[in-house]
Amino acid sequence: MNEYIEFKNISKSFGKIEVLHNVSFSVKQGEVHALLGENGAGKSTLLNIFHGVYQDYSGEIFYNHQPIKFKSVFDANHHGIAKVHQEINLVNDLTVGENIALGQEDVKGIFVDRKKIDKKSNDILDELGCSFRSRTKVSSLTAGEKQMVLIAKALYSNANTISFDEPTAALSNNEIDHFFKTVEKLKAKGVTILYVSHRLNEIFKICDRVTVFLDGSYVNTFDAKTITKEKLIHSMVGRNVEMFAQRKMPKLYTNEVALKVENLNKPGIFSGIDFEVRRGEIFGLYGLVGSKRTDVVRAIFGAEEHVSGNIYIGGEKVNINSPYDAIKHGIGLVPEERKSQGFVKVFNNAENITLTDIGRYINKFLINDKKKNSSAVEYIKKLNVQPLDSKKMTATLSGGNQQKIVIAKWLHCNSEILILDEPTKGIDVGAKEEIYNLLEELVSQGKTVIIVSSELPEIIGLCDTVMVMSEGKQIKIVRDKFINEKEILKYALGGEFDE
Amino acid sequence: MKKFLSVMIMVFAVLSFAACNGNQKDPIPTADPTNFNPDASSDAVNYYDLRDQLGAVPLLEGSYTFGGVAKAFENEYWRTLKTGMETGAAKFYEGGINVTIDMRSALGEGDQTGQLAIVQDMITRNYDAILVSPITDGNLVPGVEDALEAGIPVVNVNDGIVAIAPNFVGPNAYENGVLAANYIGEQLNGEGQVAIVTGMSGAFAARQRTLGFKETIEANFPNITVVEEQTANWSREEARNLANTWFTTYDGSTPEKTLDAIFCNNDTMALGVVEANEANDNVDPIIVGVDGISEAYDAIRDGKLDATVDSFPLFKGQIAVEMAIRILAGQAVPRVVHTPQALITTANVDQAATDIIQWTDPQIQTK
Amino acid sequence: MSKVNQMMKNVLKKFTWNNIKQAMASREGLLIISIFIIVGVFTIIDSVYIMPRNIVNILEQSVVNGFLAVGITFAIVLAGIDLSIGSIYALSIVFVSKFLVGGMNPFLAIGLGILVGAIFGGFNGVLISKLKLQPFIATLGTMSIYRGIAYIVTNGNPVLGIPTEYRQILNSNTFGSIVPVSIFLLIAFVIFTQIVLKKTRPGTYIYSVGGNEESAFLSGIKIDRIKILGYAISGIGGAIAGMILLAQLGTGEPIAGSGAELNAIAATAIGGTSLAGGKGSPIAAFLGAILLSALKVGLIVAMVPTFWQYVATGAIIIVAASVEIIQKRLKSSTT
Repeated sequence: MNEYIEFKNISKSFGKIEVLHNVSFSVKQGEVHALLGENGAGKSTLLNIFHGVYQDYSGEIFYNHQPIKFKSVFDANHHGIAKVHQEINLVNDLTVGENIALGQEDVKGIFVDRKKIDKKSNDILDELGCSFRSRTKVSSLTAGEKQMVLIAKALYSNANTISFDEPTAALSNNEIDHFFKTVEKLKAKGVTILYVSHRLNEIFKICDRVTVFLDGSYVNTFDAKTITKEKLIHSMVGRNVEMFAQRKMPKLYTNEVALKVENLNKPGIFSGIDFEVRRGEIFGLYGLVGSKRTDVVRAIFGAEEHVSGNIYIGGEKVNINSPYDAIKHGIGLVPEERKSQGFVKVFNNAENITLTDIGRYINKFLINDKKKNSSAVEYIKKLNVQPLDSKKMTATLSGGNQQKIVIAKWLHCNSEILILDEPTKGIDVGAKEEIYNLLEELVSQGKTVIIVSSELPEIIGLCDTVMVMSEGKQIKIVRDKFINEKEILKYALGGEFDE
Repeated sequence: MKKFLSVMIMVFAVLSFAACNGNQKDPIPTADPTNFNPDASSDAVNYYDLRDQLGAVPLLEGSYTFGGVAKAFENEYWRTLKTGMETGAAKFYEGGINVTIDMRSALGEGDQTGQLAIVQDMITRNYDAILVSPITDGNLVPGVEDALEAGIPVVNVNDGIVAIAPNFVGPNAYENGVLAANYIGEQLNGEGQVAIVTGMSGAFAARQRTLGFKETIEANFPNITVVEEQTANWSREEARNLANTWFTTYDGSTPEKTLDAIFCNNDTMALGVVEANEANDNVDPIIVGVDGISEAYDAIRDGKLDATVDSFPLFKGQIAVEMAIRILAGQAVPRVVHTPQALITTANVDQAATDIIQWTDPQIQTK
Repeated sequence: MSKVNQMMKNVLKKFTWNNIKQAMASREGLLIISIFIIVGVFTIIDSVYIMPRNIVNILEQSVVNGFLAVGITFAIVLAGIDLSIGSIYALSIVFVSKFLVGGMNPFLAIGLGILVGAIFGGFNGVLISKLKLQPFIATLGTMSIYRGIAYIVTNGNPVLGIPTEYRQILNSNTFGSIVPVSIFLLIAFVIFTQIVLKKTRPGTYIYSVGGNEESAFLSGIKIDRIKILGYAISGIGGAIAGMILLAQLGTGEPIAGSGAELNAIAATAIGGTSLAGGKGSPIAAFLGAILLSALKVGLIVAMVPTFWQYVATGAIIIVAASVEIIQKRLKSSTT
């Protein structure tokens, strides 16, 4: 066995939260090795450790039998390990050749040797079957072509290991085909490939082996040529019962439809979204990376433009063109990015909590600060925000307490329908539990809750109904007793193999 | 939102209408006593005539401190004026009049309030006379008002023009244009096409120099046409860009497309035009500036610039100080004293200024 | 005289180190202390500095720059900038001059002048919110457009013959003629805008939009309206500054206020308003304007050579900007 890359007992934590737990496995030279798991399973963190983005982890990595620990992505590059990730941006205003050679330019004296760069770049582009040239401006390229530039950049630096993170997410079908051919070519050249994707079909098509992760732990490595989809999904599930969120009072929903969404479309993003949420229900929206679930809830909340379709609240058709309209109709949204979307960092707790409904404290044009603060204190006490201080700047609180402030904001303005996008992301266990209890309390009061989450234990434990999305499409609505890991994951992974 | 926009447009329309309306009903009256034009003043005298008329400078008793406020020392012209005033004060000091001068300037020609603060400070210090060259016609008005109220004589030197100042000492800006026009007309034998690079719109000197030039061309050289007139805001760079544009339009291919002369409202802009002209092979215009800064002299020596109208700030400064002394001595100094100016060309560029304007230091009375 | 001495002693007693330290922990306190230091230093250099005429002079300058600084504070709190404020200042000067020369009632002219500021300022807000232009670019453009309009309306010439009635309204002195009336207008404007920002709904929204636009949007705030409002108030600040200058000078010059936006930004920065948005107050901007004028006049009184005045002014801005860091240390040492 040629163990080309070997991960040994890798563990990594962010604060108190452990995201990788004692992971060990190995990759062979020249194979295409898939990393599979739900969002947050630990695949991306592992790649980041491998590429030198994180250095504070425990465990060891052997590369070609040598122990390695890179200082940065560039350091890894020098050792022939390249990263082709969506988030690595090309410089749009430079040419393809300049981007390919960026940071590793050939020089002639003090000048950049453009001729040589163009020659080398064009040779690589030819090899990859690209029609554009070294002198083409990157800004004129499509997403797929840009990815080819990133691959060319990796080859330019003589990379012998390349990792891809969701490489096909932004590509058209033709581009995907071309990409697969390119991967074949790379493989033929002897390049080792690490491949993160949720698309099972792709994994079966181009990967040699697949390693499955679950909640930061290594599950198993399979031969992609022999394992069935059924078995693969089976390996991705099987958590212990205590890992799931627990409902104390299940099935509080009524027959009254609180929110109905009819044929919601946003061209190029999502289409055909159709569902109903009942009063008192906790409704889950599940999907993996690229499923566009956040876009759907933002559209319902009026935060996205160019959306068609109908929304009914309490049976009545409503027009929602902005968050202002949504709030008027009793909808609240706890957004995905707490720091950049959830609260105003220059505001204290009282100011953040009362922002959406400050009018309540206005007496003859002026805000009554006393009333505002005392009202904010009520919510802070109710949600047990630590410290119990309405004048504390929200930005200085811990993640869980910040999230409580964001939720308090919507409780304060009496939202009837509360949408929470990844409500427990980056929050410690205790605060998570408190938030779950709070959501249950809300539905018991007759409110309606929609949770968008990529954490299966949360979705499965809390929700009365779950809508599964994949790549901008509504795949399936799963109810009550049918809600289980395997069922939901199956649909989330594409759902094209229904039976 | 549309409502907001339409309301805004309406209100704007009403406002512009109101503004124009005011204009029609009561156009800025040229005869307004506050709109003072020293070039056209009936109470104007030439410096040399005045000296003959008033005789030697009275020997003032006691000690005197004058304040001088220039526009901006960043510009060589104002530094020369400063030297002129200081030279003047020193000469009178030697002659037995105990006078010193405190010369200051604003922080650049945009620092209108700063210049006002300087005047206020001089009033606080109870200076005996203040000599001002305001950045705009208006920015020193409150200071001049206060000074006059405090009984301090104010002499307006050069420009901008303070209408309420009792005395003005400076060149006849209209005459600047006349001198340039006559020179260009003679050089062209009364025929050709000329362009004018003007200073900042609305500035007194720019207005008058251009007017003097145009009216002289019209009266004396009917076969010369002014084909272009554009502002370059006193800036060398803007003037260069402007000339470059002209040189592409006027490529000398036909008589209509030639440019025979360019008159610039000051030397800085003329030097910008010279730079543009260095790169132009098609037409060979005569270039004339105004001010007589040292770089312009050099350019005339090098044959790059044809002429400048020098108003001799070094002597103008001395004259201003002399006038302040005469005013303090109780002499009747007319509202406007025009200082000497002369056309400088290759013929006289190396001649001493004292020869060109036949300068002699003023006589001081002896005890 | 002994009475004054006694008073001074009482005042001085209160200046214990702890009190000073506490005052210095707030921006406003620090600004006031700095102003006193500047006044003290220049008075020692030359006692002419605290003579009534100079005080009037400092205050008059502060009034014009203060209105501009308070106005631009709104744009800066919105995480933007209003480079056109100097041009709006000129526009109000030329429009109001034209109205007055046309025989309009001075109070009506002042009212229309404020409207001029609101409209041209509001138009900046429209460009920034509706067309999504960057504030720097949008107001760089309107800075030139508005200046051009001022020239066009007057044909580049100063408007003369401003009625003394108007000048008296905005430019007379009280209290033994050492305090310009206009300073009270500015104080009223500062109090008004301070209340608007800190105590009203639009003010809260302005801070939230400046602090985190996305979060404000998701809280149901109509971002566009708030931006238009903020820039309109900025324009109003510019317009009132213009009208006061017009009263001070008695001549309506279209060239007035070129470069004024930089003085206003300097005063605001000295006041501690962060260009990143979400922070800042009219009071701080007002104190910043006074500090800047006190310094500038001080440099003139101290007869600092012109070219060195540039250096000193720049240094003060940089010192003011670094004060926040010192304050943080003081805060942690008092608690």
